[in-house]
Amino acid sequence: MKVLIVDDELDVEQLYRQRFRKEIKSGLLELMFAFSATDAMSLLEELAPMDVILVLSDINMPGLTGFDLLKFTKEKYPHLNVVMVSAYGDAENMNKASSLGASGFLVKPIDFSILKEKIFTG
Amino acid sequence: MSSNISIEFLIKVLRKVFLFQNLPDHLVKQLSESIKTQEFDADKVIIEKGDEGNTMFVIISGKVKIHDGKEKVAEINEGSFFGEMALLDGEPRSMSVTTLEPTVVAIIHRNDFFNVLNDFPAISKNIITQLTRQLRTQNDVLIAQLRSREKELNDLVEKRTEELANKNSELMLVLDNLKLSQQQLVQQEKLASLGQLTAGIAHEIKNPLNFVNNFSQLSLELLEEFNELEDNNEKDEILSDLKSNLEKINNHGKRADSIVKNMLNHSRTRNDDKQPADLNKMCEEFLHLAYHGMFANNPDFSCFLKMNLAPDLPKVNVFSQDISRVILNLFNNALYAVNKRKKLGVAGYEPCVTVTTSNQNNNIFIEVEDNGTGIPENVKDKIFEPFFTTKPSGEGTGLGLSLSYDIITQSHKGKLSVESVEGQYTKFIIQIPR
Ligand SMILES: [Mg+2]
Repeated sequence: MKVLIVDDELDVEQLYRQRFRKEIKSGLLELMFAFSATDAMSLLEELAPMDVILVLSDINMPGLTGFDLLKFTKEKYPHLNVVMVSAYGDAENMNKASSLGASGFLVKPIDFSILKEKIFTG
Repeated sequence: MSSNISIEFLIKVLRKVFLFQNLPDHLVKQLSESIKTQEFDADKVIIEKGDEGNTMFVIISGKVKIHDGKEKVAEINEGSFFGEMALLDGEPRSMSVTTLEPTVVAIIHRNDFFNVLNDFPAISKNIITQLTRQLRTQNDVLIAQLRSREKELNDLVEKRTEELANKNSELMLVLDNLKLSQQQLVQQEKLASLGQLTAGIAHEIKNPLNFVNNFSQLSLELLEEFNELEDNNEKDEILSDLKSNLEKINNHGKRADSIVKNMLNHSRTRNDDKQPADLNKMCEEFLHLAYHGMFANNPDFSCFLKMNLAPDLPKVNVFSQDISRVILNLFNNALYAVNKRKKLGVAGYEPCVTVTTSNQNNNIFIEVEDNGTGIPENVKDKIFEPFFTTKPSGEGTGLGLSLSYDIITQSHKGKLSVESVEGQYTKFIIQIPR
């Protein structure tokens, strides 16, 4: 199972890799990282036809935002699940995410047990 | 109006007149015969200042005043004479004469007077004596008037001085109030710009704090795992992760600390001394703060941030709180402008804010450029004026740029200039001498 994680904070990579150490080691999960929405878009285009099952994207990033990526993904790959992650859990952001087709919304700091559930049970 | 007065009576009258004392009988008679008399009611003008004059007058009965306009010089009555000056020098009348009560005067014509003078030159002595007396009287009157004027003037000056002193203390009070209001406005502007930042600060602190929490919790779990492990390779792997996590915790802790310091610094009243500051770091931190602040208030907002920071930029002595306010203000304005243009909804528009630092000829330059709405030509000269704002009411104090201008040009002897094309871009250039 491949998951693409998008965030402008570089340290998320180390965080996620350690959090999912066992799953990665056992081959259950493969993590990919992009540090801007633009990078994520070109990565998705490169990967097609793809085996990524989930995109986990930060909203607040310089340049294009997580919402731009969400729109792009839902237009090009409607079946790909996108879960938004943000430091701001306000209703406006949540409504916007769901109206653009996000399949979930996580508020930072991430509760990894919820995230694991999202990844492995869908 | 001529009256029937006998020669005998006139002779009697003339005898009483000081001027004609010692005049031989036949000359008094001769003069009397040439004299005409005239009666006037009260308040009638006998002669007017500036008139041609070739007669003098002797008051037979009644009372007149000699005056210059409203200025009364003297009051004279029976036996006194007037108008002799014009008679002597042929100049126009120097004073006016008006009756104060019904008055009868004897009118002596110039020719008749001179005939008498020729025949009896001793009369000249009388004239001089009389003139001297008159001069003295007039002198006294004038001096008395001068004295009273002087007193009036002194009183007036004293009154005015007091009034001025009162006005002055009123103005001082107004000035104090103005200074207080100015301080309050400056404080308000500081708080307003800080308010815009609050959300950005929250975000910028929350992110590193999340990492601190995540990495420390993760490390605890790794330690528990470590204790259960027997494989040395796996143990080494975990130890190296733990070490790396501690470094991350440390870094993100410092990051949050620096943001809090900056924020406190920003709102604190400034130090008395300039301190060496790393303007690159300041630009980077405040651009992120401003960006996240903007983002938190406008979820639709997005913008590319470009930083062309001179790697060898030397530290500069500045009032760093003040400079940070200027930079923050320019960033906020730039982000506001690109957001405004983005809201116009033109396809293909990519908002971008660029900050460039450089060191040229002992001057530090900080350029803040945005591809936002630009500044209309007709307001370009006004943007540094206090209270000028193009933002809707409630969104801007109108003080940001004018305070920024003062901070750069006055406290730092630098320059703050602007280039802009409406609908295309705006570039603010800060120049600070080292
Ligand atoms: Mg982010």
